[in-house]
Amino acid sequence: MNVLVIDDDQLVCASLKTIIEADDGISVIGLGHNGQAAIDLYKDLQPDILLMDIRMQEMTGLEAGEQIIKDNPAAKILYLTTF
Amino acid sequence: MQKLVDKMILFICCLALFVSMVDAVYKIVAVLIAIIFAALLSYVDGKKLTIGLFLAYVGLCFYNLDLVYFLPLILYDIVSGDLIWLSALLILPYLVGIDGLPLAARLMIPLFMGLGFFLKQRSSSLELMKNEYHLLRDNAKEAAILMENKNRDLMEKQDYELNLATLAERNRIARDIHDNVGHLLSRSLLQTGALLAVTKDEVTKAGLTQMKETLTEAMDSIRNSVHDLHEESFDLEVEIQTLINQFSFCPVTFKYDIANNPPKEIKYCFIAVIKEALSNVIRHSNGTQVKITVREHPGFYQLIFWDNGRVELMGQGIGLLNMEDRVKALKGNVNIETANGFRIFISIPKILRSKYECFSD
Repeated sequence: MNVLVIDDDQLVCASLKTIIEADDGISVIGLGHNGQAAIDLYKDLQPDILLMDIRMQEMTGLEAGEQIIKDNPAAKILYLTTF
Repeated sequence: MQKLVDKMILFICCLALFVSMVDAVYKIVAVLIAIIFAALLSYVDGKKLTIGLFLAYVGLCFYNLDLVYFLPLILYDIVSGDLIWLSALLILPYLVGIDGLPLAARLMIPLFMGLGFFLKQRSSSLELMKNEYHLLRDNAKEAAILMENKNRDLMEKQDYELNLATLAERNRIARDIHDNVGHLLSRSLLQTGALLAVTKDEVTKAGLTQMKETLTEAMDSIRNSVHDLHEESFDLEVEIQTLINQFSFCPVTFKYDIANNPPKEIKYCFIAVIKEALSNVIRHSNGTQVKITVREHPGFYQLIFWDNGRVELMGQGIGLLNMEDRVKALKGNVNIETANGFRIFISIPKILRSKYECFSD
C-alpha cells in the first residue's frame, strides 16, 4: 500500500514515515509540507492513502483535501490532528 | 387651603365691618347669604356657574344693601384669570348703595376689595410656584430614575463585556496550549514511536516505551485541561447572542434565564437547534419576529423558539429530524406547534454528567 504523508513539521513527517514503514506492507512514497504540495504530489504519485495534517500554513489540509476530492472523487484521505 | 385662609380673613374683616356698622334684626340673613355664595363660588368649577353666581349676588345687592359689605369676599373668587373683567360690575351695587352706607364703610369696603385682590394674587403666585416646584421635582426624580436605569444598563454591559473578554482570554490560552505545548508533545510522541520502530536493542526499547508512556500521560493531561478550558470559555448566552447578532432577517427577542452553566452537550445541542431554526426562518418562513427563550427548571433545561411566520410542514425536513435526533440523544423532548406562528419546544432533563459521556464525542 502506498501512502503520501503531508505535514508542515518535517520531524513529524520523518517520524511518521519511519513508523509507517515499520509495517512491511506499507510504503511511504512521498512527503510534503503544505496543502499545495499535497495537491501536486497526489496528482503525480496517485497514492492509495493520503495522510495529512489539518492545520498548515498557506493552505490548510481541509482546503487541499477538498481540491483533491474534486479531482479524484475516490481519493482516501486520513487527517491528523493533535486534539 | 391657602385660598380658604384668605377667604376666612376677608370674611372676618367684612363681618367685623358689617356688625359694627349695621344694626338690624335680620342682619344674619345677609351674613348667611354671603357665606352661601362664598362657599358655592369656592365649590363650583365651571366658568358659567361662577359668572351666574356672581351676577346673582350682584343682583341681590340691589335688593339688600347689607350684602354690599361682603362684596370683597365675593370678589376674591373672580379677581384672577379671564373673569377679572367681571369685577368692574362690583362698582354698580357699591355706587347705587353708597348713599346708604356709613362713611367708614364707604372707605373700608374698597380697602377690603384691595386686600382681597392682593391676597388672591399672592395665593395664585404661591400656587403657581408650588406647581412649578412639583413639576421640577417630578422632572428631577424622572431624570434620576432614568440615570439610574442607564447606570444599571452600563454596569450590565460592562459585566457582559468583562465576561466576554474573560472567555476570549480562556479560549486564547486553550488555543496557545493546543498549538504550542500540544504540538511539541505530539511530535515527541511520534519521534519516540519512530525510534521504537527502528530500535532492535531490547534495553533501549524498554526505556523508549517508558518515555512514550510518560509522554502519553502528559498529552492526556494537557488534552483534558485544554478541553476543560475550552468548555468553560463556551458561554451559552454569549454564543446565542452572537448568532442573533449575525441574524439580520428580522428582529429577535432573547430571554436567558439560566443560573448555572449547563453541561457542554446541552449547550452544543441548543446552539445547533437555534442555528437550524434561524436558518429555517430565512428559508421557509414569512415571519417578521423571532423569540428565543432559554430557561432552567429544577428538573430540566428548556428552549423555546418561536417565529410569527406561517410554515407549511411538508412532512419533516432533514433539519427538523436532525434537531430531534440531537435532543433525543440527550433524553429530551421536541414539540412543534404551528397553530400560532411556528414554535419549537425543547426540554432536556438534567442528568448526571457521567450519563452524558456516552453521547459526547
